[in-house]
Amino acid sequence: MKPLRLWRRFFTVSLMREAEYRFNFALGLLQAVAEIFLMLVLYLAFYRFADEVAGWTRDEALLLLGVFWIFDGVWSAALTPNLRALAGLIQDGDLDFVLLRPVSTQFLVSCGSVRVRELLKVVVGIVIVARAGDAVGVAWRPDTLVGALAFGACGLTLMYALHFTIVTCTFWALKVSELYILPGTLYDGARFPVTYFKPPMRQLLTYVVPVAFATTFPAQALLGTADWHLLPLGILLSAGALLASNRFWHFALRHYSSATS
Amino acid sequence: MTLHEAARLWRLIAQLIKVNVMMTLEYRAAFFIYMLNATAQPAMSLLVWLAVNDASGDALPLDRAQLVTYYVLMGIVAVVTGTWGAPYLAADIRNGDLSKDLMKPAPLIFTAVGNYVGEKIVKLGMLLPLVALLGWLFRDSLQLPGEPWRWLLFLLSLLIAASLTYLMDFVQGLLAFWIQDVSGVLALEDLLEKLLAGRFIPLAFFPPALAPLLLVLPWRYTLSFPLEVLTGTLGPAALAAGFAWQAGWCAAMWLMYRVLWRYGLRVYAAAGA
Repeated sequence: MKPLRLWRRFFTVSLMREAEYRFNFALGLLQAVAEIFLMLVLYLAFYRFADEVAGWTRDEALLLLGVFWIFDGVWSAALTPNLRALAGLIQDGDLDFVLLRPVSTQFLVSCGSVRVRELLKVVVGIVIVARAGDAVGVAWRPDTLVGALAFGACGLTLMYALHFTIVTCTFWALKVSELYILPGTLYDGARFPVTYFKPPMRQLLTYVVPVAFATTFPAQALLGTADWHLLPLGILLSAGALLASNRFWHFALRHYSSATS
Repeated sequence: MTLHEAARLWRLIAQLIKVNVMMTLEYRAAFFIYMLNATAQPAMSLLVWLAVNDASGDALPLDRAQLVTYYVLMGIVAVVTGTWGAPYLAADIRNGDLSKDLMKPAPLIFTAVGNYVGEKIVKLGMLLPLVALLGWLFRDSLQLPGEPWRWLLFLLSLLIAASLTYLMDFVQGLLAFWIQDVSGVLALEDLLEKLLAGRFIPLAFFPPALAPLLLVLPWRYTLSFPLEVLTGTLGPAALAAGFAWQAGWCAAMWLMYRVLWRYGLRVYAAAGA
């Protein structure tokens, strides 16, 4: 598959670029560790006062936190750097160089570079999921693992489609290169089980800014408490959102006043 | 400083504030997005802590009303005490752009205030309606104090907190005289601030054994203390002690600035310096 082969190339080039700036690389790792430490302290603070919050014990919540880091690692390694850079491409007219290439432009602007250091979070996430999972007594069955991954993939696709659509608005709001942080705070909601939130907010975090698919549902799949009806719904939503983001991108491209023409 | 010099300095700063208000307004859409986030972030923390409060059967050290008031107003304190200058200052020192700041008719520590005040005036104009909206959403539990003296004390502590964060940030930027890259220091301080200023975890929720330490460290006085003044969790003695610590840290940072600035300029090497 061509995109996959291309992506492997992007990955190699990005890794080489990052290896050039070793101090920054180490600093990035340090920051990831700091972030993880902060969240662990926050969760320990929660469970000083209650054994169970909104149906989640401490170890179950830690499992969810591990799922969050796996998701967040993939998200900020593969997608964030590109979504951040996209506004600049549109504003400076550098998008011209992308449009000339014989591959899907949406794929190129969304996946063109990788921040390899962020993948450390994935490793830490897997360790935490494994340890917290053992503490809760998760039966590591292949079908639940696949289910959890499927939920996570839906979450990733939905979040991507939403972010991409918002950043695409840069074609009209040329001065605003900060559009990508707009869903940022609600993204932070992915660090908590969606049941922590009361109804209007809970629906918001499930369907509008779909972080529930990214962390809560995969964690529930592992814990054996998932509502499996949500999986086909998630797949349907993901396909629709991806298609809509692509249509919107092509519509927006027609409003692109490049650097040269 | 004579009265005449002070008046001149004030006119200079006022002019810089005006310029910065204009510059900030030019990017108003971006700043509005920042302010949306500045409101939503504490709101997210509040919702999560309310869930914990329900689960614990109202056993948190702060009651529901205090928790709501604390987090609804946090956006205002966070924006007023926010800092962003250190990376720019460090870059200026590293590449020699500091030289043009040294030509200005007042020390940089004063002229740089213009950027902060100008930007924060615009930010507050956008933030206050958003905070009012958040307060309205939580109107059932929001408890604003009625006594004017409490609001005055709040404003005073807010002003000192803003000065303290400004000085702490400036001092970190000045480290660039000696170390190539200050981003590690900034990242570490950022972590300590997130953890110890009461942003994600109100300081009252830490284990009691840590309380004396939190009281002594500077971060409480950058965010938590002004909010504590307003939510009325402090008695008169604790209030006085808090102000003393806050002012003390401010003075200590000023001294630190004086020392670093003086010796830093001696090692400063740039084209024409």
